[in-house]
Amino acid sequence: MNFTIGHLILVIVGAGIITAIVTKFNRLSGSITALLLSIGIAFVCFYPAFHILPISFTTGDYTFIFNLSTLSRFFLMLFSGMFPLVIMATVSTKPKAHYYFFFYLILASVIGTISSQDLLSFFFFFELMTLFSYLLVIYKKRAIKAGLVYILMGIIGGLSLLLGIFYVFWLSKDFRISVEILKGSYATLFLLSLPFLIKMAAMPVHIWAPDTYKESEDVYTAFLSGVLSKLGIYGLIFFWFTWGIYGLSAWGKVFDVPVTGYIIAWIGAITAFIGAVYALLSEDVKKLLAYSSISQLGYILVGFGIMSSLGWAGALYHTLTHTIFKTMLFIVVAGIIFRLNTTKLSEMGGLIKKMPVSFLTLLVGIIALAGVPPTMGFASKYLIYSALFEKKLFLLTAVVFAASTAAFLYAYRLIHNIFLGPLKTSLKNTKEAPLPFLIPSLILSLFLVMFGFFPGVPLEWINNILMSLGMKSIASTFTTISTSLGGFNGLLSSSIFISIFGIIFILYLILFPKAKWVNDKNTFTAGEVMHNTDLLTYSSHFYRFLEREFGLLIKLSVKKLYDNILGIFEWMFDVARKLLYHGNVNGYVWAIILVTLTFVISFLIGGLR
Amino acid sequence: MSILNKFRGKSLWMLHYCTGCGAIEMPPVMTSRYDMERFGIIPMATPRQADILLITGYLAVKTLKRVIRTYEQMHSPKWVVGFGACTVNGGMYWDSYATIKKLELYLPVDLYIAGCMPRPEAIMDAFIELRKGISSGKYEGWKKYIENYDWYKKNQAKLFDVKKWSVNYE
Amino acid sequence: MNINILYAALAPIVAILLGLLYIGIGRKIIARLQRRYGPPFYQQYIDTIKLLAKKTVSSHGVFFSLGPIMGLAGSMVTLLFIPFGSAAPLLSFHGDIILVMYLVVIAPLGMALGVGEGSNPNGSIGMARGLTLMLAYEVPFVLALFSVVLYTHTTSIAQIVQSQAGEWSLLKFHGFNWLTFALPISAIVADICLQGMLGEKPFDQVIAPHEIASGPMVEYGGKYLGMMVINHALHIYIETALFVDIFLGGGPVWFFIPATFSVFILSLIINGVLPRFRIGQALKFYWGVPLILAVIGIIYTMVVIK
Repeated sequence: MNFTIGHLILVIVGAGIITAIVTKFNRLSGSITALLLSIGIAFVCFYPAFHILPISFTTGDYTFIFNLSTLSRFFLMLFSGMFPLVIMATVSTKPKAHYYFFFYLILASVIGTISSQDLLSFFFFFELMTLFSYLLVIYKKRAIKAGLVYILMGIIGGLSLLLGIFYVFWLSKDFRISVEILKGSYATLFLLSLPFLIKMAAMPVHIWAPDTYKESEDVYTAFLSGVLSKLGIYGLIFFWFTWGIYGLSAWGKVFDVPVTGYIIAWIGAITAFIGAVYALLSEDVKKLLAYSSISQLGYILVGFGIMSSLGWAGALYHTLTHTIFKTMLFIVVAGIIFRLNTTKLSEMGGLIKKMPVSFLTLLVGIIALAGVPPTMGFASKYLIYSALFEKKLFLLTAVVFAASTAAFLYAYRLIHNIFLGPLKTSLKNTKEAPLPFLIPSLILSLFLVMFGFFPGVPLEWINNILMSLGMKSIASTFTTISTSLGGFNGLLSSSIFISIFGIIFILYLILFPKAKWVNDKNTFTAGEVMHNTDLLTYSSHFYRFLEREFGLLIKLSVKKLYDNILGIFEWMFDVARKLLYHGNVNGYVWAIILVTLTFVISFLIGGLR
Repeated sequence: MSILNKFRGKSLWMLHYCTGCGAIEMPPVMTSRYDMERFGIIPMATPRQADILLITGYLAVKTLKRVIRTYEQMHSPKWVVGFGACTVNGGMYWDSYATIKKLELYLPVDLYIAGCMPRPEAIMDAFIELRKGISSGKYEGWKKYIENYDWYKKNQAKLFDVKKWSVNYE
Repeated sequence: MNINILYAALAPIVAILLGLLYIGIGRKIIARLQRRYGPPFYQQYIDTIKLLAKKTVSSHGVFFSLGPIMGLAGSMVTLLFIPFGSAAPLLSFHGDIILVMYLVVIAPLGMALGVGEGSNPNGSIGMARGLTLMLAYEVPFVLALFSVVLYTHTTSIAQIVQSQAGEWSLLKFHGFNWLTFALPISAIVADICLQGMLGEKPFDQVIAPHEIASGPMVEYGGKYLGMMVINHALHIYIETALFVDIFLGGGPVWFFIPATFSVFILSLIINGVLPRFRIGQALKFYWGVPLILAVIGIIYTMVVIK
């Protein structure tokens, strides 16, 4: 069956309208409608017999072109695949009608963005996406203040994009992207990269992310952080590819890497490290995940900035990995928050016996986040490190490695503070998170483990993208990835781990006496009995000793820098206001006379000429 | 299981419950002068890891509760060594209202080291005796504690002046 | 190839026996440093068997029990990817140094889960310290490895071992192929990091028996503790073998085993004479001098290969 992208977008908008109408009458049936329709849309996007055709129409001189390149197809699969899973998780929260409507509109505008091949429609859909996602961010009343920062940064990004587009038009008299004239223009490069760096929450422009992720509706955060932020890397590749790696090299090279890419890589590395440090010091579960998201997107920037085929493969691979595990982690955490009604880490603890399925899925998620082998997280880390090793970027390697080791710290903190330790007495009657949260997270964790065994499978798609971008593909089979430096066998290492684990487990069951189960009070407390087991919880300020060591880093936050700049502006305008609006009538009269005189004189001079 | 007993005898991890003055005799035993590590005896941090519970000196009634909890947290096979006259019959605290007189009423003591205080040589001697005894299966206080659990609990409850006393982790 | 699979099946057992032996001899050496007589060298075997032969154990939950198993499995899978000198490459052609760097952390992370479920704050503090220590030493260590990769143009450990291979015989000494001589600064950095990896003083904040009651092991006893002791032995073998393979050229069996042992003893002797850092100080230490040295080492390498 053949249909165009226009049809697809219209169908999605139509699905949104239908869902909104049904939800207006009955919340539950609305949710189920939303779920079924989203599964249908995902099916349409995935099923190979359906061909999505390009479309173009001309108004006046201008031609709008929509086409799905190999790169866009990858992102289309990512977005449309995650969409039904996120929608599924909303079922038990029973949101209002406009929630689903905006959700569908976001998907429609995202698909519009990734399929548009000309600058104006790209801008149009990108801005629509920002607008609708803002409307969903402020779905909860508590998020209005955070949403303001979000839309402000969105507007800055949009303006920068628009300026860039006009500048391109001024240079080339053409709105199409495949133009040669862009070569060597710093301004367009900067203007066309900024919106995507904002979307990816890179370090100097990340300030919207922590608060927005924390305050927005819990399930929607999964989509916002897991999926929508990937539009940033799409946009970067989309625009930078236009210049071409050789075009970018015109500005010179550092360590065999184009200067611009090197700068992006450093931005990414610093983002990754500082994001990780903030994540491990945060006391709020959603904020921890938000900073973790910032940090992980930093790796993608590092991989992207290296500008080699290994680097881009790493960036795209990590895009896939991060989409899967971050969506999953946010959904699991949304389920926990749904039961607990709190986001503070210090109010959780010991939930492993109450929420075993959530625990298992979160465990798989953090193993992938840490990049430890039996999951696919390792493959993406591997590609990024190989790229760094290949280009001999040792300082970047050190920073990125510090960031990824810091990821162990906050990953452990996440699972420890929620699930481990003694059970909080106030959480005695907690139940397992409802099924709509568990099913998508189980599906996603299955993917994480499966691709851990077969790391070559996603790399096959990524190789297609790399070849379509004119880069070398990475040598791989289903189970192995090999680079010029080395390689690894995912199936072998993972299956050996599983089998050794199984052997030891069986030996353990056969040879040794059964363990006696003891409760939280029966711990070593020097002979004393803790009747209040809450006192045994070690959860708030988990890494206090690091707070002391990173004290300087915490003090020097970017937000404070912006606040200071704002303060300087306020002071300047205040001075100007005091000069002009001083309340003295004589002064006003004199000012009027002065201005009039100036006008008259200039008019006279101009007239004389 | 005599082979395993040989191993048990040669590796004794000790938890020293140092409430009394006898603790001061332990450092020479642990360090260079007498070096108990040559018999495989090393001090441990928590009861979960320990094999021997060494009670050095008098036990107040209040302290005894902690000792019993500690003892019950240890994993069998485990042994109790009473150190000093205070654990044998109350020693110089024989007429004190606050301390216990006979430790073996409340915990299955395998070995006593008499003296006020026993010299390091005496402690070493006791350890060697304990080692031999464990290897031959002579000391099985932990079994006694399980078999006569009610009797020990009754004694403990009597001492604490309550009807029923258990470690009570509920 | 078949012989190699046989080796791979035997490797964990050999590694456990070696690791326990190293600890045993190490205890003796520490005792001699402190002018004690010390336990017999086979003491660690006795301790392990005794722990595994305990008749009762207590568990706080499923993952409390699975934690040590996960740790043991993680360590065993790691050591299969580290060649046994040049005698047996085991599986190291199927995974390189980056894989090993990540396989090594399976054991502590698996253990961390169990420790966390133990619901004892001492254990949690120990884990928090352990992860922080990892953050501290991994950064200089990865830079030391980076210079090795720069020098040998490969990340595969088996190939790094091969690149240092000379003629090995009892009469001829071909140590001059070693990367220790080619990259002395990086070797020093790696050895400093080894001290933290092995958790020897001044970096034994994780265990710290006098502060946090042996940290992660606080709730573990009996067979669990036995597994942890075995895991510690494996860990010692893994870290020293990694160091010997990369910086001392691996070598045949008669060289490899004494080399790993002497690397361990070196760090043990440092352990014997130093007190303990505070955890923050450990982080500051590693991100200070060793990090700068590592960068100098890389610059030196770049100069050498040009």
